[in-house]
Parts: sequence; structure tokens; C-alpha cells
Amino acid sequence: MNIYKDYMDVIKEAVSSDSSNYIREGLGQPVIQRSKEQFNNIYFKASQKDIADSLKSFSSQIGTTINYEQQLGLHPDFGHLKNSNSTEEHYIVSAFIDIKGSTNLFKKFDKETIFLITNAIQRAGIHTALIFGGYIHRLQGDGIFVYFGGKNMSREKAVLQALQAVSVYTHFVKNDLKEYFNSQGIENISIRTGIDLGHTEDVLWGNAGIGEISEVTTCSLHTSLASKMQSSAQTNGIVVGEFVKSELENNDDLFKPVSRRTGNENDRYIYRIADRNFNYTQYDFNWELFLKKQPFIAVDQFGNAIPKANNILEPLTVSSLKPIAKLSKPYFSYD
Amino acid sequence: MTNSLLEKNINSFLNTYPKFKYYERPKKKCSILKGLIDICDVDGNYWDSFKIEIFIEKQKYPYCVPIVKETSTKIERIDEWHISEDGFCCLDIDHELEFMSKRGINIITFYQEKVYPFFTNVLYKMKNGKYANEEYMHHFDGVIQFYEERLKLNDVSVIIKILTSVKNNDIPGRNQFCVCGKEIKIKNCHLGTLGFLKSLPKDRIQRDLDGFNNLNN
Ligand SMILES: [Zn+2]
Repeated sequence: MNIYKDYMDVIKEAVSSDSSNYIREGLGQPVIQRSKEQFNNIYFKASQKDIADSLKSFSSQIGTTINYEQQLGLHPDFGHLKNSNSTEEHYIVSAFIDIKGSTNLFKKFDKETIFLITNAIQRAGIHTALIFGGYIHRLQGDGIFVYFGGKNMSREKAVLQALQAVSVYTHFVKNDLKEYFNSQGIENISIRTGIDLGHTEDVLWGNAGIGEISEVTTCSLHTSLASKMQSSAQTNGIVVGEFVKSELENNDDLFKPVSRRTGNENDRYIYRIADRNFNYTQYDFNWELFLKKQPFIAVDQFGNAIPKANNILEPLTVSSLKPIAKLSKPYFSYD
Repeated sequence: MTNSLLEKNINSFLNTYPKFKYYERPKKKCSILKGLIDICDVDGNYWDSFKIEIFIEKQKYPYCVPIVKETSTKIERIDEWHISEDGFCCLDIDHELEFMSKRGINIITFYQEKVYPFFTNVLYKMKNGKYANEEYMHHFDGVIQFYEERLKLNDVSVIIKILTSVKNNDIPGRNQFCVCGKEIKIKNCHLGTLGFLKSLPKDRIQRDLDGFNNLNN
């Protein structure tokens, strides 16, 4: 996806300035390292707060106003609970997104390169979540924990935007990122996600921790299940809970019980309370199909998902249409 | 749906292009794929979309030529755009389409090779003033052009001889002299051309024959 070009460029720049390049070039010579200035320069790009230009043209299609003033562990709609004794019930969508296989990077690159790569990937993830109205609750290693929804948003919309954000990001990791790393001899970089919806009566918001060692967070079975479902997901897969599925009407083709994939009936429910007759199903979410149905995505000649972006940066050139257009030789015979 | 190949192909079409919906229309001859065709260039940029309908003859599939209608009316309904007043699009010269249908089509391949390039070409012309490649001349002039370019035939009397033998199903064996009148074995002369024309419908051969005969009068 061209929309992640600026993020990929940072990664490529980090890789091309990795010390392994210098060692190879300077056979028997003293090893030259990436200069501090070079590092700072890339780091500056990798940590820019604003979304990169290539993604900006896409985000204008989505139409959400991006809130850059978020703080980790402090959802703006529940900020008043910080260090208070109050609690509040409110629905929330929890998404746990995790990049897998990044330890493979240590086989090839120095720690500075990996630091820059990780930052760029995480920044791409954060920005994608922000574009779709997500709220970044926590960063953990290669993972991002995002809430979707809040006081001025319907449940349906929160679920929809969570699925949209995660599908776009998964597409990026599964295609752009993976292709590039493969070309660098690094295999098995992938992403896995778990998403669940907790209804208002099942979610308690409150302050957890003490003093400044605290965050405003949710106590909810469904937040815990989202994290658990992430480990049920297959490589580059998304697993969602039954309540997520219920918010998306007429879209049964997008969801299949996880047990269908594994062939193991035990994988059908992610959680059961026998004496309350509570059997909660987890589903594999067909994000590739979902993505291609979205209004902000175009489907190209061969069925690939292409983000619709206003190409402010590079004006479109008809010469790029020509290779496809010239396959056609029309004829007119109607009377 | 009784046509299981069609069912299978439609399912994979819808999976690949989920912006289309399938209408089976049990009582009608044709089922319809309705949806959006998004035009993206080879650099992965999105340009524009057209709303289209693809009519498929259920019983005949895969031996049929799907008919494509543009319903977003973004294309002006004049001959120059190869579209009829009702929005039906001339994807290619009938001869090529009929030849394809004789061999059997796959709706996905048809979409990728005929439908998608047609609309990309329309867009190209909208932006650039002319088609990317060429176009066939309109009406019978296009047929003459087709015989010349695709079949390498421009001598009308030779064309008439060949068409007549195809029409009468009177084609000698590979090692006999060719129907064009040259004293060369068919296999070294017009074998390919005869093979192509033989797979066209009888009424197409007749119409072409009439057309070329008219030129000679
Ligand atoms: Zn001959």
C-alpha cells in the first residue's frame, strides 16, 4: 500500500545504514559505524508525531479528526477517573495487536537499526489506529493495546472502526513489511490481533495503581478475552469475539468459528461459564474480504486492495494507466 | 443454480471482487453481476470507479460472451465511446469474443482481460483525449480491419473464397492445396485462419461473407 511509503522509507534508510553494510564494504578495514548524526536524523523521522504525508492523503478519506494529544493509560472520556475513587460503566472495544518474529531482526541488524525499525512499525500502527478514531492505551514490546469507542460514539461505529484499523494495518504488515524483510533475508515477520467488545454492564472503568504509577483502565472479561484471542489468531490473522460479530449485521461470510480452522471443537469457545450457560464463541475474521468491501478501499484488476488516497504529493500520470488500457481494442457495431 | 461450474466461478469472483453482488434471477436467461469496477493503475494508485452490470447466460456458461452494461452513466452515450444508448459496451470485436466463447471463458479471466482493460481505456481516453492503443473502425470497416490485422487477409476475393469454404464446411485436408487458390498445401498456407473462422458461429460467417460480397459489387 502506497500509503505506508514514508514509513517504509524510514525502515529502508535504517537498514541501509546498518553497521553490517560497513563491515562488508570495509573488508579488513577498521569498522565504520553509522554516525550519531545519521542515527538522530532517521530517529527524528521515525518518531514524528504527525502522520506522514503518504498516510495523510488516505486519512482525509476516512474523515476522522486525529487527536494527537492522547496520553497512554488515560482515555480522554474517562480522564476524570484518574486518581479518583469513582468508577464508571461504559462499553469499550479492546484490540491487542502484536508483531511477531521481530527477534529475527537481531540475526541481521545492530540494535540501533532494530530500534529505528521497531519505532517506525509502531508509529505506523499508532497512526493507523488514530486515523480510525482509536485510543492507544498501552504499548508493550512489539504490541499495541488500543481502545475503540467512547462517550460520543455508537458501539456499532466503534466496532467497525476497530475492524477497519486493524485490517488496514494487518494488510501493511502482511504485504509491504513482509515483502521488504523477505528481500533482506528476514522471514516470519507477522502480525496477530485479538478484538472484543464489552457491553456497558460488563465493563468497569477506573483508576488502577497508585499516584503516578497508575492508569485509567477497564476491568472487563472482554478486555481479557481480546488479549487471549490474540494468541488464538493464526499468522497475520484476526480473531474476534461473538459480540463483535453481532455488531456487524449481514456479514456472516466474514466470520468463521476458530474451531472450523483448527478442527478442534475445544477451540470453539474462548470462554465458558457452565452454570450460567455462558458459551462465548471466538471467530476468525476474514479481514481481507472485509477490507475489499470498504468504501475507502479500491479493488484493482487482480483483486488487490488499494487504498483510495488523494494524491496531493504525486499527481497521477496517465502513463501508469496505459499498460492496462492498451490491452483493450474497442469496436463499435450498434446501429 | 444448476450450472455448477458457474456457481464455483461466481463464488471465487465474489471473493476476489467483493464490490460485486450476484443476482441469479431464476426465471431469466441471464444472471447478473452488479457492482463497482475500481480503476487502479500499475503503480497502485486509485483513479475512479464505474458502476457496471455483467450479464451471463446461465445455461451456456462457460460457452458464452458476457454482456457488459455501464450504469453509472459516466460515459457519454455516443459512438465515439463504444457504448450504446442503453449503456452496453463494445468490449472487443465480436469475432474475438465469439472465438473466446467457443473455447469457453472464465468469468474472472474475462473480467481481467476484457472488462477491466476496456474501462481503464475509457478512463485513459477521458484524461488523455484518445485511446491508449488503437480502436477498430466502426461497423463493417472494423471487420475489414480485423481480417487484415488479425488474419493477415486483405485481398477481398481471397477472403470470399475462404469464407465460402468455411460456410459450406468444405475444407480440404491439411496436405491438399489451400482454398485461397495458391498451389500450396493448406498446412503451409491458411490453416490457422481456417481454424479460427471455423470456430465462429455460422451466422457470423454469413454476415461477413455478405459484407465482403457487397464490397465486390
Ligand atoms: Zn491459403
